[in-house]
Amino acid sequence: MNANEVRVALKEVMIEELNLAGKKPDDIADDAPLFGAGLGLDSLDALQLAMVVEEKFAVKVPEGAPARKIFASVNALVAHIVEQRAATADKASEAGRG
Amino acid sequence: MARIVVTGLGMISPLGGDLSSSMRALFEGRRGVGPLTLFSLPGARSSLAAEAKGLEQGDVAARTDALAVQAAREALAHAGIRPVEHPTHLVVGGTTAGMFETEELLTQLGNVDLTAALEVRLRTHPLSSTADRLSEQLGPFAAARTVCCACTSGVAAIALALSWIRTGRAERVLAGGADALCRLTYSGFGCLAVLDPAECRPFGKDRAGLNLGEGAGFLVLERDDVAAARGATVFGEIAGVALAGEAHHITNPEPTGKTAARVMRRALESAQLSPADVAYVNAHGTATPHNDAAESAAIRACFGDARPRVSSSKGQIGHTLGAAGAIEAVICVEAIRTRRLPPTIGTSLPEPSFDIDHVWSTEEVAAPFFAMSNSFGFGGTGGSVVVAPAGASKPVSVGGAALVVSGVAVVACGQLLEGRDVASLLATTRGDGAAPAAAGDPTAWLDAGKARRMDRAGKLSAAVIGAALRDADQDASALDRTDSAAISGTAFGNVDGSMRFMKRVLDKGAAMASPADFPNLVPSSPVSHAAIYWGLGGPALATPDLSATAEAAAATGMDLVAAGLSSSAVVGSVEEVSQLAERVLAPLLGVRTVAAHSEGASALVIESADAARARGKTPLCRVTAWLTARGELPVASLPSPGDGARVVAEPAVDVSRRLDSSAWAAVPRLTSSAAAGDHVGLGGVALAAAAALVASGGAKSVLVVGEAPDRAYAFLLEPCLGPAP
Repeated sequence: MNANEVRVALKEVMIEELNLAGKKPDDIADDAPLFGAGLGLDSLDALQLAMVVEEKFAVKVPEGAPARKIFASVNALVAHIVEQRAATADKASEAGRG
Repeated sequence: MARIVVTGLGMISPLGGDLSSSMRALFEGRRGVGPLTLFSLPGARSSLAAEAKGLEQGDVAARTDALAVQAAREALAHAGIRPVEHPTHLVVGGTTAGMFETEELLTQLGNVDLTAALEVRLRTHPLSSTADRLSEQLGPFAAARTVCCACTSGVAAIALALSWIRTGRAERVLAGGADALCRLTYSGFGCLAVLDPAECRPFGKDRAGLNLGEGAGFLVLERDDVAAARGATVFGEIAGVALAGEAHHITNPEPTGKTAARVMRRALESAQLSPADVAYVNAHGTATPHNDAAESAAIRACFGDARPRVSSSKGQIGHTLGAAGAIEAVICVEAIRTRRLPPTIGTSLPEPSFDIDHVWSTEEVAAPFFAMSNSFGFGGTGGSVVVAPAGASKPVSVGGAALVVSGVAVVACGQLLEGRDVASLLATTRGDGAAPAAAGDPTAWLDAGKARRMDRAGKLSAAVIGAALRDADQDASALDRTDSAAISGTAFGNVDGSMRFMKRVLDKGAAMASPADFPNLVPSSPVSHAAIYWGLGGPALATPDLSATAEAAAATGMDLVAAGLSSSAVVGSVEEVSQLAERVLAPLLGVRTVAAHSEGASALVIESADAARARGKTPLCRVTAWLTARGELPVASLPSPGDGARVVAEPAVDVSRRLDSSAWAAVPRLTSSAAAGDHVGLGGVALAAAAALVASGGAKSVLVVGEAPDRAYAFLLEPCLGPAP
């Protein structure tokens, strides 16, 4: 999955899991804040989003201060997912070589 | 004039199986938190719990119910009361009942053969199970009520007991709360990231969440003259109580604590005390970052310079959810009686900005003192109880306000009806139960964005409550919502939602539990969502009572408003179509099987006649009597029916048996099921339709009768006395 594919999939997951009824993927700006003024999401949405990101993308989102940066926008979250998946894939291929 | 005295106490907690062992360990500063042994839950956030000690479960199928029976039995014995000789009402707060026994089983239904043993377990699933087991084991009780107000349930039970005694409906009440640990709450609180994997640190700078606990606390409350007449020992008094709701968020407390401060102030008003009178506060103090910050701000706001001493028992007993308010009220009675302040245990580094006067180890106190116990919960619900030494509370006059119904609405067969139009649902025919199941999305009646967190029951509740409020506001100054309670019946709770949540937890591990879904599994969730949506500042309560759940909600709202504990209450029920509830649970519990799957919701706005008059509202009708009973209804207390009287009861209600001893048995009967479909919350539709019928001149008086196995309710609605000035 490249960043674009992750972005599309993530927005669909958000609409479904956060019950953003009536919203389409294009309505979610890539760089707007997810929480507060942006999409109007809050800490309960953050927990749901962290859980589904782990389920759908096999990527953990840490709690606390680091999460704030990762959840800053769709772009930030996509970057985290792509980075973590690459790191996992590297580890897997190293393990494969070993 | 009367005082409400405490003549019996009972407790089972993570510190001990009875009152004395629990209190000894509490004052010694021991912790009841240890490794979770009751179940294993792969992927769970924590492996700690405060499990109850010394439980002798006997033949009681559910752990919650057994905790309740043990503590309630102790309280009755402590008071020297046998309910069969000394008429006693019962009110129980809780959130889980038989969830521990049924949460795995629910996910297997359809794949397992239901043996008799499994059926016994399944019967404990509805929240009313606890009151039913208490009635079987310790009763008979004159009446029994179950209240769920999330983690404020224990205080809500005490509030209802106080309202019954203050309005003269009861002279003795066994009141308490009980909750056992279960996988559902453990994984639910875990996924909300509020479980501390280590031992919790209430009011700590490094606090990182709560430890879940379990237990039960019960109090025997009596009117002082009744207690004196039988020579009872008085251990303390309930001086006052208040309930409120923040109307803010389904899980997060409002950060400034302004509603928490309001509920504390109102509890002081109810007790006719000022902040300086209270020397000790037993805080909710869960050790979550949000609760402790909001609560300490609220304590500072309520008490100002009075600065009472404050401690939280949660570091020792964990958060016992629906039992917490009752257990901690018991702790306050014992603290006052023995003149000791119990400590906050587990915190080495207090958060300095909280600026409250902590008790870090048990302290002796020279003079008698008043204490307050706080509870807060999901949906922003809050409750405070003020406890007094024997003989120290201010007496109150016994009596209740006259009540009216000032707005009604129902959702029936996919239609939202409000006001007098609701009367069109009544017919003399019983119908064949073939009314269509509701269709469509209730979101259409709401702002979809504001309603996005709600499940279907939440949306139905919000829609019907909004319509009833609109009806109540029509042709008058708007109803003051700052103190309006929202009370809804739900016979079995969110069975399907609990099943899906647990299936996910069992299949994928507790780490994959859904934070968005968990709050909607609390029985009071639909009505909490509605209260948040419409800005209702009173408590949000669910009142499960099998097929009389709407009637229980109505009676509870009437009790609270009559006693002045809420200025108004929106009462009714919400039922979704559920195969599990209708086809599995209902038959097991002796509840009539619903002929055709329907869903529905109802809401009636109850307020005092004085409040309606003050805002220029002509109500639909007066509520001149409401009766609740285990066993036979005291129908002899009703006035005789005049010309133009009607009885409204759903087809399954055996009216001739209920009213046999009364002239009401011969009164023509109407029912709403032909037009409104059939579901177990239909009593709320009957009540709303009856109020509309009286308002439109279609009847001179209406007696609404509802029942479920071993319980019955009746409500007498009569026309208003002339136009509003």
